[in-house]
Amino acid sequence: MEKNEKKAGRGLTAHMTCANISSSDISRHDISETDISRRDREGRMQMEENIRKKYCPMTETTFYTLLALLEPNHGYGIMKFVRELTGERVKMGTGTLYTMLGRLVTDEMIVEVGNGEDKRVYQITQEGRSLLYEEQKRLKKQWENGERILGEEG
Amino acid sequence: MKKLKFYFSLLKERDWLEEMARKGYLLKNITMGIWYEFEETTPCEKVYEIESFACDADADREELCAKERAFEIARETGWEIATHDEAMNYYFVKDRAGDDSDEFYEDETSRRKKAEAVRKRFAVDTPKLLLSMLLFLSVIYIPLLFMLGENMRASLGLHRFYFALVVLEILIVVLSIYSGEILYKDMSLSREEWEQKKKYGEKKSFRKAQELLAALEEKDRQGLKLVCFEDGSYQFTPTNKHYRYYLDTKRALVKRCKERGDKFSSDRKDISRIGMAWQEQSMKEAGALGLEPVALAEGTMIYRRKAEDSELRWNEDIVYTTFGADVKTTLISFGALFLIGFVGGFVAAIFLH
Repeated sequence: MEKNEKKAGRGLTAHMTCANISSSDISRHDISETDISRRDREGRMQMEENIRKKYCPMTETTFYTLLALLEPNHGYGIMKFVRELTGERVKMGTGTLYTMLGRLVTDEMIVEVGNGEDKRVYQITQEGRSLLYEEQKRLKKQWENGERILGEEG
Repeated sequence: MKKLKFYFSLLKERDWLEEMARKGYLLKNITMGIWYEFEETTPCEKVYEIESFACDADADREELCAKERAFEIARETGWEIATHDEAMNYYFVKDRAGDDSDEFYEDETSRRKKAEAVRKRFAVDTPKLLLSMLLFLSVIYIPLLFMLGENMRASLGLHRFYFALVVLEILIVVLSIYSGEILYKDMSLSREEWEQKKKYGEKKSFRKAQELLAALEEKDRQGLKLVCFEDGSYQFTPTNKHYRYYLDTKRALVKRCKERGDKFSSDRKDISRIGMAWQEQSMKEAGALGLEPVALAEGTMIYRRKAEDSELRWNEDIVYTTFGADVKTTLISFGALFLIGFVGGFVAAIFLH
């Protein structure tokens, strides 16, 4: 476990040095490698935490879109998938879908995987997948709570 | 066919375009947002959607790819792009299906997000740009006006030009902020909500309290109940219940307090009158009588209770609604000021001669 973390830390440090902090910064303040890697890791975790919060609870359309993208799919394909899955109940609007796809790509929950015959094809990322699992767990809890209270009443 | 039209409201523009399609005219081109060109076809049912794809100075990846993404999905879902205007508003058009798929944004969150971007463009970005242009011009013009002699200034008419420019720019800034607000409110409505608003909305201002009550009663007979008051418009919704309506104003509340022998004390820190001290006091008193608050309309509290409840007489001596009374006071004070100015000028003229 510890070893793994250290490894991840080293990898991140290399990326930090070239991206965010110039070499002169480091020599001036004499920040040790472990400091940077720790801070970087904490920063990344904070970022991920913030993004996660944004999607919790998830809108119904976001949830179904992520479900649709477990397999590579394009815009209209997602729409059709969601329509069929929900029995025509959820009909996504063109505007809603394209803004949501844009946001999900920016937040790295999905990626564009090449243009198949002039169409943008999207697929879920590892982060997106774990977000989806988390939401599924939350929904289950919510359903159980509702069932407990409503079940007693009915 | 060509038509000259101007709309502040995107939804009204949309309605008009759909009406034109019903008459057999399809939009072909728009110039400067006012000059519409149509192509004659057979009458058809279409839905229009107006979407802006202007590039922000600080656009992120999501915004930079928005247009391409939107076009791709729109094409596949049956939307065509009729035309676009100089402000990068794209006019999408599609055959009317009569269900959710006519809606470009089917949920309120995404509608609101889009609406906020539009409001920012009209109410913040455009005014900023115009005001910085004005500042730039002033830096050139004001020294120029000082350097030129008075004769030169008069013969060139530069000061007049500058003055006209300032007035024009301020006018455009005000219009831009105003239309931004209208667009924001419109764009957060779904098609259904918009239809409801048109059907059951009543844009009216009542000066007399009894007229307002009579109007509410009339709506009640038609099976409509008041929902809210927004942008000078009373919104109703169908209901199978019947109600009796009651009004309360701050004046009436203060009067009631005086009659009871205590004094109504408002929040002393509330200098700009944005608190709700009197409304809260009013709701407390009305609640004790079994009245439920509906809305604050034209500065007047509107309450109601079910019609089958026992009869209640409350505040029947209110004559003017708050705005009605305010209009009266404003007119009187304007009249008084005008009179003072007139008499003052007359007296000054006598003394000077």
